[in-house]
Amino acid sequence: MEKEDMKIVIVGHVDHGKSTLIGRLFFDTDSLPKEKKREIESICKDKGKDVEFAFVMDHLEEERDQGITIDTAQTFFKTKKRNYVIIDAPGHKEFLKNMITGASQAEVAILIVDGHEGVQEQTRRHAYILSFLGIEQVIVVINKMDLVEYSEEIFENVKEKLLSFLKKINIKSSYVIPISSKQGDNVSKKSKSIDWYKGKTILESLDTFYKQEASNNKPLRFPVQDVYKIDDKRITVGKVESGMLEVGEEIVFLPTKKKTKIKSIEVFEKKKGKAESGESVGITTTESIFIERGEIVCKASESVKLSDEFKAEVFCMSKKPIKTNEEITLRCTTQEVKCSIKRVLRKINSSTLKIINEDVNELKETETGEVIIKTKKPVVIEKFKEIPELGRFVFVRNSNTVAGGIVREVI
Amino acid sequence: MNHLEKLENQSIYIIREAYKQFKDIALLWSIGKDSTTLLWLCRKAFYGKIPFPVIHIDTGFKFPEMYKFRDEWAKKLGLNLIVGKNQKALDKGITCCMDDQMTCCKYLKTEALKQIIEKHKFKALIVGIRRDEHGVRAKERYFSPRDEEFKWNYKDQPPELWDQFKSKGKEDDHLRIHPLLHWTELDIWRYIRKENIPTNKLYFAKNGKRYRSLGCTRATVAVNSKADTVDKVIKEIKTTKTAERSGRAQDKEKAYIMQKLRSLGYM
Amino acid sequence: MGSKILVIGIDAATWSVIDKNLDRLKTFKMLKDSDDFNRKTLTLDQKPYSAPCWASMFTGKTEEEHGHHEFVINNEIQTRKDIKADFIWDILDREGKKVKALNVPFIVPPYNFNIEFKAPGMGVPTTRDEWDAEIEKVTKKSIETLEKKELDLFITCYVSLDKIQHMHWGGSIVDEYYEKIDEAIGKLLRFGEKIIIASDHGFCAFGDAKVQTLPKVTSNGSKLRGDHHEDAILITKGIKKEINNLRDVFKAVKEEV
Repeated sequence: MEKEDMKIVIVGHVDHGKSTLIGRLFFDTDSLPKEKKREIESICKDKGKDVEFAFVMDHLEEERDQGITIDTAQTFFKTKKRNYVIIDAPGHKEFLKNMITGASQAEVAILIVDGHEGVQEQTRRHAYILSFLGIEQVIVVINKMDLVEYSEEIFENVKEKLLSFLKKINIKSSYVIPISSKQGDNVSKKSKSIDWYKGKTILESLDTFYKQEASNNKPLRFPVQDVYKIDDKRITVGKVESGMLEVGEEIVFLPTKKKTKIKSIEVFEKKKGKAESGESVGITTTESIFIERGEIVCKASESVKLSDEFKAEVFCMSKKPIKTNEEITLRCTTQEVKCSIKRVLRKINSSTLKIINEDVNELKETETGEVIIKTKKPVVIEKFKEIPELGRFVFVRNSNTVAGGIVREVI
Repeated sequence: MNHLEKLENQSIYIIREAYKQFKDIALLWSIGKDSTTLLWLCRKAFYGKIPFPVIHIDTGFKFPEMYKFRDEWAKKLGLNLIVGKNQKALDKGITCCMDDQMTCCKYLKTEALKQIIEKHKFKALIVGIRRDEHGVRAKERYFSPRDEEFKWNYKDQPPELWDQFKSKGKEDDHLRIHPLLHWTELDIWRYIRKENIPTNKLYFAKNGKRYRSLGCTRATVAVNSKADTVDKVIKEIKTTKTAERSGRAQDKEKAYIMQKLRSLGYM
Repeated sequence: MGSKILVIGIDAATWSVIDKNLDRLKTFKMLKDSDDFNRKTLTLDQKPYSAPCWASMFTGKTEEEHGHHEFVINNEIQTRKDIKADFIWDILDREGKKVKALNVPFIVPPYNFNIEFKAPGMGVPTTRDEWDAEIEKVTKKSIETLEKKELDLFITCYVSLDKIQHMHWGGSIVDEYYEKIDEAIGKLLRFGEKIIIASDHGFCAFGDAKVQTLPKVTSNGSKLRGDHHEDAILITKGIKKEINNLRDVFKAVKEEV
């Protein structure tokens, strides 16, 4: 059996110890290249306890900045159960676009907080982004416990503050762990200095998480990506976003409402009777009908709502604000339509969660808003909670993504 | 779906997105294991016949085995192969890795590629880089713009989420598309085994040495290895902790420092 | 936070350029006018090559004694391990002192002690971007380090001026970068109780040097406009020992710690 991979992102305020934690995880799981390990060990020996694990990551960062080679082994670490692939997500506010790109690919997240400094601006903003992206498996670690003499009181204090914030954004963290990455407390080994904590270490917690199941049991949504003419066949290609495709199934293309039956599922040099969600396949149909990219294949037996107005939460990532009634492009799977924000119901600072009362007719960078969106043409869109793949979208302006959105309610 | 199937499906989706957006597109094929895997995926994405040209940049000094391999497979797969060469530079006597890798890469690779892009008016290139291969590539996107100087401004890139990729803006010269970004070296080899993808024999051990990555003859260093089959290579990578490109990197850095010291009169 | 002793090394800084530009070099002007700082010309008693000079400054040994002559010997880039002598940081660290050293250019890439740092351009910056990056990153890393911890000795060095002067001696770009260095050291001074600012050698027009250390035409065909000069710069604050050669820097630091 091959070990599975799980993608993990470590987020938090700058200098709260992300690098040191990553360095420690690599070191403790024996995932470092030989030379690097030897180097660190020799520093260890010379300096006693004064080992700076951030060395490892600082080193990587510097190298990254300069485009110098780093080791393959340094992008993941292994436990008995699986390999964890670390996704790059910088902590600086300026790098928010990189952070969100990184985090959007992660399956689990570790939110790190400095026990000494407590919850800070980027701690909250990053937590908000995790919630926005729908990442449910989150570990909170309270780091640098060595600097506060492993005080349970300080831990409890930071923990309560953070949990009350996380509650507001609907993150139910499975674990809150007091750690010191520098000393190795509760990362891979139980801490002797923190005898009052009886819970799991970081590695133990990570291994309890599960891989996301394919959305096979949900209603079928197969967005048309392209149509190819191969020999004398017309093959409609796309990725099954949810549900299952099956040969013989009666289907309907939306929004054109053309109906037909699946004649075959086409994969190069293979015969297939079914295709599950996540698969990139092609279909041929019994009737030859003309369709284009952006239509959504659904089951004819299921009723699917077409909408041109919905309520969403939009997170702005553009220096130039997005104004109400501004015409902007919306992309959701392969659907692309012009739309505009009709109304901003309320807008919020993504870090403090405070309601912003100025300039309520636009969303500025890092602001998040509950808005009503009106599209020029009807689209197949779903509540994120029901079919996430059809419940998230981006706004595109001048060929760049400028905002992400989550559908809260279809009107 | 298992792990490799997930990777494959995601890559095929990206390749199809690229072709949907760009008809003036080409695949960059270095004949190495990654870009050959990518070629394989492109074939699958388009049911056997790749609808765009495949570019090979010839620096004039590659391993002879690579040419043979290239021509044989180009014929078998019916590729529209474009071979790029910076003939002017070669005529001037700039040879592969003569002084240092920078000169070689700049004139023989980048310039040759620029000439091809200009001539064929390509708006996008499909390239087989992986995120785990290089430090800075951790910051790469699937769709990544390049300006006229081929520069990539990784500090200010638009976000990329939920499979929504950048389209080409006015200020972009062309886009680089990276369908293998989420693969690792190990994934590549496992896929090669599963799909029986043809690989150059230089990747397999001969007299105790093999190549983990292939560049120009003089810039690529063989590593000590006994792995002479795909299975053995996979086993070796699973346990090894040295960098895939380490053979190349050290020499590259050393050559780079020496070249700089020379330019200052220190050597 | 800060350091009891702060040593700022500026490769190839030379009085002839500083004094000519004193009206635009605010920090050097201040250092000249202030009674707390002493400035002098440090005339070398050894060949003005960077590699052995920096090694002498921080080992307290002559070139023969420490045996480090060149950056590259027999086509091999020399590393710290090739030099058998103890450096000031090795000695003080053994004594339990808190010492860090950043970007010390007796080898390439420059040496760091107790700090992880990758120098732009692999420590041999040769373009504008790399010069800017060096000055910016060395300054930033220095400040970060000094803000984090109280140290006994912190050594930080800039190499860009040397490379710029090699390539552009006599050009306005040289003055421009002296200004950038001036600004950078202006940001560091507040962190040091006792301070030494020194260069490993000076600089002059090619042909004006008493000892020609560099070839007129380099092995890749470019012409050099300047060469190393035997007069280095030295500015001190709170240092009792009279420093008369590079080795005295080592001795002065050892005395003051």
